[in-house]
Amino acid sequence: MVNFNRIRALIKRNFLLTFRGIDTLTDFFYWPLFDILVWGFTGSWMARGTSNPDLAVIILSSLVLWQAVYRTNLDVSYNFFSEMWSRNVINLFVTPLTIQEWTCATMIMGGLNSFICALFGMTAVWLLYGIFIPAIGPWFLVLFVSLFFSGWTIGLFTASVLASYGGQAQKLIWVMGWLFVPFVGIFYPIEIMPLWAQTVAYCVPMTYFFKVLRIFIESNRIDFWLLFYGFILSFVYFIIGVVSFIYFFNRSKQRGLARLEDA
Amino acid sequence: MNITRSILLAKRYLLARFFKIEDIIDFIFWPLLDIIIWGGVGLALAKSGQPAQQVTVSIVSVVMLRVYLYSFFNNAANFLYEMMARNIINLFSTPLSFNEWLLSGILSGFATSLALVVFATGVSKLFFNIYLLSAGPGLAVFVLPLLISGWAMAHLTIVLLMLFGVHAQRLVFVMGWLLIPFSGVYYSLEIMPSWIQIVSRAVPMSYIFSALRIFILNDRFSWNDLAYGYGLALFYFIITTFACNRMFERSRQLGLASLERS
Repeated sequence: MVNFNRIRALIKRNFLLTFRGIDTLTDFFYWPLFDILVWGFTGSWMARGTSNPDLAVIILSSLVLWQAVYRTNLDVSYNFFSEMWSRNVINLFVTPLTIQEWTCATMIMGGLNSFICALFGMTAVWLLYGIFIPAIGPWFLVLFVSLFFSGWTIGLFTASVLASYGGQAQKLIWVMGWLFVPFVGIFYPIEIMPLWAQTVAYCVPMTYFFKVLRIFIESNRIDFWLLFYGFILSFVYFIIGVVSFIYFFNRSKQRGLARLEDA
Repeated sequence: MNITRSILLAKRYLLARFFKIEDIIDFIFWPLLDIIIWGGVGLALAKSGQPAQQVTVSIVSVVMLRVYLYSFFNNAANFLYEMMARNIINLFSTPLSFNEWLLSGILSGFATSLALVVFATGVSKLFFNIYLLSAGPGLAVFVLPLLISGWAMAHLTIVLLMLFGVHAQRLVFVMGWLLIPFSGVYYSLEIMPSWIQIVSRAVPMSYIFSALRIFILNDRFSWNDLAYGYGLALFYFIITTFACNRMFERSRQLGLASLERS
C-alpha cells in the first residue's frame, strides 16, 4: 500500500537537495535560457524568409513544452543515479519505503520542476521576444501535462538500465531525452524528414503532441485524433516503463543492492 | 620547453578519453544530434524558399562549432580531471612546465577536432548526401581561429578553476557555450537586437561564422571579417594564456595542494 506521508517526505528532501548550489542554477536557468536565445533568434531568422509568421511562436512554445519531457525524465533518472552515486540505495530501501513510493515521489518532483522551468522559460520568451505563450490558452497546459508521461517513461527506462548495469550507464541520463528530439518535430515539421524517420516519429507519442501544438497555433483548431493517438501511445509506453523499472529494480534487490553502489 | 613531453601528455589524455565508453558516447552522440537537427532546420529553410545551400551552411556551422567546443573542452576538462584525481602535485613535481602542460591540451584538442571533422563528414554524407569537404581547402582558414578561440576560452576557465577550486567544475560544461548565442552560428547576426550585436562584435567567432556563411553562399572570402576574427582570437589567446600562467604561479606559491581540495 502506498504511504503518502513517505512520498511527501521524499519530495521535500529532494526539493531541498535540488535547490542548493550552482548546479541547480545551470540546470534550471542557464540551459533553458541558452536554448531560448538560440532558438528564438533562429525562429525569427527562419520566419523572415518564409510565409509563416507564426514560426518563432511555434519553435519557442515547443521549446517550453520540451521542458515537460526533459525535466521529468531527468528528475526520475538522475535521482536514481544520485542515490547510487552517494551510496544511499541500501539506506533508502532498508526503511519501509517501497520502490513504488520512490517512483511516485520522483515523478511528482519532476512535474513540479518542469513547471518552474516552464514559468522561467515563458517569462524569458516574453521579455526577450514579446511572445506571451500563455495566450495560446488552456490547451497548452493540457499538452504540457500530457508530455509528463513521455518524460517519466524515458526516465523510467533509463533508471531500468541503471538498475541493471549500475553507474557505468550514467551517460544515458543526459543522452536518452535528446535521442528523440530529431524525430518528434520540435524545431521543424516531421514532413521534411525521410520516410524511415517519419515512421520512427509516428511511434513516439511526443510527435503527436508537438504536431497538435503546431496545428493549433497555425489554424487555431485542435486535432483530437492526434491527441487521442498521443494519449494512447503515452499510456502504453508509460505502463511498460513502470513495469520494467520495478522488475529490474526487484531483480537487482534479489542479487543485492550493494552492487548498484559499486562505482 | 620540451615538445616531446607535451606530445606524450596529449597522447595520455587521448588514450584515457577514447577508452571510456562515456567519452565515446560524448564524441559520437552530440555531433550526430547537432548535424541531424540543424540539417533538418536547413532543409526546412531550403523548402521555404531560401537558397538550397542553407543545408550545407547549417551543417558546416555546427561542425565548426564543435571544433571550437572540442578545442575548449579538451583543455579545460584535462585540468579539471587532474584536479579531481588529485594529480596536480604529482604532475608538476616532474620536470613538466605549465606551458608544456597547456600545449598538451592544445594538441589533444587539435587531434580530437580533426577526428570530429572526419566523423562529421561521414555522417553528413550518410544522412544528407552532403560532402562537407567539397567546399575545398578554404574551410581550413575558418578552423584555425575557432581552435584558437577555444583554447583562449579554456585558459580563462582554467584561471577560474584555479581561483574557485573543484566547486566550480560546472564551468567546464558551461563556459564553452556562453558566447554561442552571440556568435551567429545558427543564424545571421542582423536578426539580433542591437545591444546583442554590440556584444557579438567583441566575440571572434561572430566574424568567423559570418565569413563562413559568405564563403559557402557566395563562394568568396570576406577578408575583413577573417582579419577581425583572427586578430581578436589571437588577442584573447595571448591575454588568457598570460593570465593562466600568472594564476598558476600564484597557486604554486600558495601551495598546489590548494587546487586539489574538494
